[in-house]
Amino acid sequence: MGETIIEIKSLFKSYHIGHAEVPVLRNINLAVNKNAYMVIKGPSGSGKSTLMHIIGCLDRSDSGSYCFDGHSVEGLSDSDLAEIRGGKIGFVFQSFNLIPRLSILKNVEMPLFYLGIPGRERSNLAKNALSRVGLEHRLTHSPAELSGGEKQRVAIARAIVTNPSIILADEPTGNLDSKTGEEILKIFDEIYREGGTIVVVTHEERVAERGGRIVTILDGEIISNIVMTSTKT
Amino acid sequence: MLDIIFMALESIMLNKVRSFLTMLGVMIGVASVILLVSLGEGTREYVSRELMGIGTNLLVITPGKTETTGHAPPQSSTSRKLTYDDTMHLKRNAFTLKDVAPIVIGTAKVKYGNRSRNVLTLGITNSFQDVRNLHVEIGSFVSDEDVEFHRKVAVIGRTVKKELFEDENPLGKMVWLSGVKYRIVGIMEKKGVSFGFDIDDLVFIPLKSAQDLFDTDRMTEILAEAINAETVETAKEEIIQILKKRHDNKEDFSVVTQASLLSALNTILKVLTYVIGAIAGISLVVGGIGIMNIMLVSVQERTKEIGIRKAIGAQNSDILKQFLFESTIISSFGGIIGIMSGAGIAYAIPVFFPVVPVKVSLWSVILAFSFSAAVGIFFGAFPAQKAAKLDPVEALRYE
Ligand SMILES: Nc1ncnc2c1ncn2[C@@H]1O[C@H](COP(=O)(O)OP(=O)(O)O)[C@@H](O)[C@H]1O
Ligand SMILES: [Mg+2]
Repeated sequence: MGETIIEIKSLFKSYHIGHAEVPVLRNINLAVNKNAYMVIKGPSGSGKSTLMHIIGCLDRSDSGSYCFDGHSVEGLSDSDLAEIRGGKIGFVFQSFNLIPRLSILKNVEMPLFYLGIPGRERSNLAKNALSRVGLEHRLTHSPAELSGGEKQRVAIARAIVTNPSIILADEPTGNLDSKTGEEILKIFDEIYREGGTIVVVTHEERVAERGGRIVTILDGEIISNIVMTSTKT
Repeated sequence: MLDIIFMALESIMLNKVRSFLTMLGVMIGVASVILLVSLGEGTREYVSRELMGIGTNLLVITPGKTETTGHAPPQSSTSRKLTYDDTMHLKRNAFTLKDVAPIVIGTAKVKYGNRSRNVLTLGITNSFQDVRNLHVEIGSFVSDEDVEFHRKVAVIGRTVKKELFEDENPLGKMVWLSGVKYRIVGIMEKKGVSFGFDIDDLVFIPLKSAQDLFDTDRMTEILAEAINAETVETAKEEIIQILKKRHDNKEDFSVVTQASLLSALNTILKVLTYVIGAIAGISLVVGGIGIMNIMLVSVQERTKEIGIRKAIGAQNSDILKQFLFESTIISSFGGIIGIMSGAGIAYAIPVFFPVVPVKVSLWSVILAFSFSAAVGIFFGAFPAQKAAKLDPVEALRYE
C-alpha cells in the first residue's frame, strides 16, 4: 500500500426535490492510493457522478469525512476548493466540456491561467500536454473542427497540463465509439504507467476491466470493492 | 490582470453586433451629455464675454426699486426719477467713481433723403464712450459742449450707416430725427450682435438734445465706472448714500454691479447646465440597464462555460472579474465613442450655426467618461455576481 491521496469515511449526500429528500450517496467509505487506477462502476443513476464531483471538490457532502492529500476538505471555503481543483485535480468529462469559442491551445492553457502562470510558460506547457495526447499539430483549431476522440484528447491534455495529483474521468468514453474509446483508454494507461493516479467512472464493463481496483456502486451504496489480480493496484 | 482584460475583449469581439448595440445606449447617453453640457457651457462663456465687453467695473443705476423688501410700499411712493442733476452730483461727489454716464433712451425715425428707419436712439454724454466701452471710429463723438448747448449732432452705428447711406460718406450730412434736423459727426466702430441685439443699429445724440427730442427729464439709466475692481462694492454703497440724500432719504432706485450681474447669470446658467446634463445623464442610466440586460443574457448563455472554468480552477472572483471587465469595457468604449461623437457634433454646430455658442469643456468629458465606466461597473455588478455565485455542478449540467 502506497500513500493515500483520497480517504472518504461514512459520507452521505442527498438532494432535495421539493420537500422530499432523495438520498444519492449512502455511507460511502473509500480510499485511493497514489498511483492507483481505480474504476467506479455502476448503472446509470447510481450516484457515480455525484461521488466524482465530491471527490473532485466540485460539490460538498452532507455528512462524513473527506481527506484530500492528507487535508480535511469539509471546512474549506469555495476559494480553497477552487484552488485544489485548479492545482491538484484534472477533470475529464463525458461530453468533453471544451469551451467552443476558444482554440485548442487556449482551452488547454486555461487551468494554467487560473494558476497565475505567465503567458509564454502557459503556452509551452499546453503545447507539451497536447503533444502527449498526439495533437501538437492542431493548436489553433476550434473544438468544433475536431472529432469526438480528438476532443476528448484535448480534454485529457487540459486535465494533465497542471500535472495534477489525480485525474478524475466521468464516463470518458461514453460519447465515443469503441475504437476511439480504446485510444482514450490507452492514454489513461500511459498516464498511469508514468506514475499518475486515475479514477474513472463508467457503466461499461469493457472500461472497468482496465482498472487495478473496481468499486461497484448501486443506488448510492458501494456494494463491492475488488482489487484486480493484475499488476495494477 | 491583462489576460482577463484580453479575455473580456475576446468575448466582446465574438459578439460584435450585440456588443455594438449594447454600446449604443451608453454612446447616445454620453454624446447627449457632452453635447448639452457644451451648449450650456458655451452659453455661459458667451454671456460672460459679452457682459465683460460692456465695460469694466461697471455699475448700472436704474430708477425704481426692483428688490422687494418685506413691507408693502408706502402710499406716497411714486417712483422718483433719476435726473441729470443726480448724475452731476454723483460725478462731483463720489470718490470711488472714475466716471458717470447718464443715458436717455428712445426710438426715433431717422430719415435721410427718401430712406427712413426706426432706430433706437441714445442720449448720452462724452463719458459714455469709455464707460460703456463703445467708441467712435470715424469723425468725432458727442462732446460735453454738444450736451451743454443741446446741439443737434448725431453719431450713427454701422448698420444705420449702411441702411441709410450705403456707400455715401455720411459725415456732415443732415438727417431728420423724428422731424428735427441733425448733423452727422461720427460713425461708431463695428460691434456686431450681442444677446440678439444689433449694437450697430443705434444712433447717439447729446443727452440734453435727447431730452428735448423725447420730451423728458428722466434718465433711463445711469452707468457708473468704479475706480477699480476692489472698489466696486464700496462704490455701490456710495452711490446709494449720495442718491438717497437727494431723494428724501428714499432708496427709490437700484444699483446693480456688473460683477453681481455676471455672477448671478453665471449661477443660473451653471445650474441650467447641470440640470440638462443630468437629464441627459438619465439616458446613460438607460444605457446601463441595457448593459445589465445583455450581461444577464450572456451569463445565462455561458453558464456551462462558467461551470467548466470553475471545474478547472477558476475562483469566484476570477469569474466576477471576467464579466465585470466585459461590461466595463463595453460601457467605456461606448463612452469614448460617445464623447467623440458628442464633441464632434458640438464642434460642428458653430460651422453650420455660427450664432449657437458651444464649448466642449474638459470637465464634462472627464465626467461623462468616468460616469460611463461607472455605469458599466454598476450595472455589470449584478450579472457578474450572479455568474460568480453559480454552483459549479449545476452550471456544468446546464445545456
Ligand atoms: N441536482 C440534482 N437534483 C436532484 N437530483 C439529482 C441532482 N443531481 C443528481 N440527482 C439524482 O441523483 C442520482 C444520481 O445521479 P448521478 O450521480 O448523476 O448518477 P450517475 O452518474 O451514476 O448516472 C440520480 O437519481 C439523479 O437523478
Ligand atoms: Mg453520471
